Amino acid sequence: MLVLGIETSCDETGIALYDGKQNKIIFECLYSQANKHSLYGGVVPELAARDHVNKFLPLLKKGFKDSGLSLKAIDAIAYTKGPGLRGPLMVGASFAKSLGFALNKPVIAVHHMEAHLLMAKYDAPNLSYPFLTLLVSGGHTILAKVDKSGSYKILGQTIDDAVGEAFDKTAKMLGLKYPGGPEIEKRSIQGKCMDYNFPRPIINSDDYNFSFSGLKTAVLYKVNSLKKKEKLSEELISNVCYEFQNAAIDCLLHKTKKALKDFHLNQVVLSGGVAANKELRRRFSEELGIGYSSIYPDFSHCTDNGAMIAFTGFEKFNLSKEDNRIFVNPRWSLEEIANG
Amino acid sequence: MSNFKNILAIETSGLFCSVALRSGEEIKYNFTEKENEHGLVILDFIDDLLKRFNLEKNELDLIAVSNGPGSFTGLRVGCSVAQALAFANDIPLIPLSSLAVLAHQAHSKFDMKNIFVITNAHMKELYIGSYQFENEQIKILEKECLISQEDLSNYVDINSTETLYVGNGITFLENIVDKNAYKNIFSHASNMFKLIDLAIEQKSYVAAEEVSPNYLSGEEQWQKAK
Ligand SMILES: Nc1ncnc2c1ncn2[C@@H]1O[C@H](COP(=O)(O)OP(=O)(O)OP(=O)(O)O)[C@@H](O)[C@H]1O
Ligand SMILES: [Mg+2]
Repeated sequence: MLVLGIETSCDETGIALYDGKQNKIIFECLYSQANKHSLYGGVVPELAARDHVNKFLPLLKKGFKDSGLSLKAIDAIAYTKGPGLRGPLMVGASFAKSLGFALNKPVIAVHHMEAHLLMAKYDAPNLSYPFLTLLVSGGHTILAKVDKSGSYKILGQTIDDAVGEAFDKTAKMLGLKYPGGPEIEKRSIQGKCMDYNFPRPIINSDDYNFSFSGLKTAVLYKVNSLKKKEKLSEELISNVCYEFQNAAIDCLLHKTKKALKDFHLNQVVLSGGVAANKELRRRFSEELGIGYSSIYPDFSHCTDNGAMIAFTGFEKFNLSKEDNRIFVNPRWSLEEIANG
Repeated sequence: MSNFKNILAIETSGLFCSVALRSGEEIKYNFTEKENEHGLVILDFIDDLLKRFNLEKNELDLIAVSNGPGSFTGLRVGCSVAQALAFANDIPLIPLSSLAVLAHQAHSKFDMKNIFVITNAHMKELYIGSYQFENEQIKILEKECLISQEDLSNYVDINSTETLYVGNGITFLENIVDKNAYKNIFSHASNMFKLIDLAIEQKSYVAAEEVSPNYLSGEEQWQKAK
């Protein structure tokens, strides 16, 4: 069974074709608008929506041309219905529904965060329920318990900025380009441990929530005071990156450990853009402790992509109940998967 | 007349979604008076029209879409639906100016030669376009553009009896002398076929991916707002 996946929730247009029978991705195409939004230091929703319209068909054509398959060969179409930015989501929904309509194929609505999470199952097929998941991306920081497919209990989440957003904002303060995560990761390698004393907000709170806004502000003060003394050298930038990244990972790691212990789970699945961070992966694998394991999708499948939508569409195929109406759910909660 | 027997017309540039289908000589249409429901209704509208003509989806020969200027979301829904249907059926598309569509609609209804279209672009701005109809042809007198409400008086001669002013932007005209020279009308897909035929004659149909919304307001706006 061939499922076409369409992702347009933010600033990447992702299209992929997944073969459920062979558990294989036939093709995947991705167009990232990051350079465009880089000018503004963050995603401009209207511009993102515009670019999705322009890039969609050329990408779709390329995918089918390169794979030698015909569009008519597909069996279903899956698209991101939410959460995400309304304008960009609407573009993907319009294409998905119209293609389904034209080809008389079923259309499956996919929850973007569930897709991030399930993609780990594609790359690690022997994953077994129940498990803990830590979703860390540009818009979310969620710790949830997964009892079975489609059943998510949110244990905690960020009370202010998402961790990816904190990476992006910190990068912006340091004059680094958008998206900031990969930039900070790169600089951190050269960075050294300093005595900046960046806070780990609410790390010891008796819940599973996160907070990154105070960390971001502390970085801002530090950067400003460093700037007063001297020009921000490459070396200083690297040190700030290192210290920031360490603080952010500490918070994620600490609450994850607590949840694993409290809920008697031994595996945590990490996904979302920040899960592409190598230092985060290294520390999770070394510091969770014996008997615990961390599982990830492939690096290329952590940030937004069409393959995760196609794969999730296949997993959800029997639950699909989409009609011809084109509409999206920008604030769709993971706990309300069933009522998209 | 042409080898395009079954032609679908999509109009989503304004507040109201309308879709029309011409098969041979006959035109049928669907429209909603609910505002901004383009996405919710458009595919069911098309489905219903095909059924009323007893046509299969793959029997469409050509799709025309009013691609702007107008509601950004409406334009994206209209263009994406048109692109997807055209691509899936391997048929061409015709993009039409939403202002020209409205001008033509006014011309055929009120039999005036000169039509000036003014539609509300919100944020104190307007889209305008000026057209002349002669010998079954449409001529653009003033290039379609986005202007600020304050500037409208510079484009409009309120004493004119030669020109008919139409569109939901005419409410911003002040000191109107002859009320009959101003019509607040909305464009409707069933009125797109004359322009479609002209476009077919001029072979101005294109491949699906060559059509995109014409917003008339570019990225500079965001660059400024930065
Ligand atoms: N190597 C990395 N290290 C840290 N952060 C990273 C890395 N790579 C990407 N990110 C961050 O991941 C985020 C993008 O991830 P993703 O595409 O999953 O987010 P999104 O789709 O914008 O948000 P959401 O999935 O919540 O809707 C950005 O904030 C980016 O800075
Ligand atoms: Mg994402």
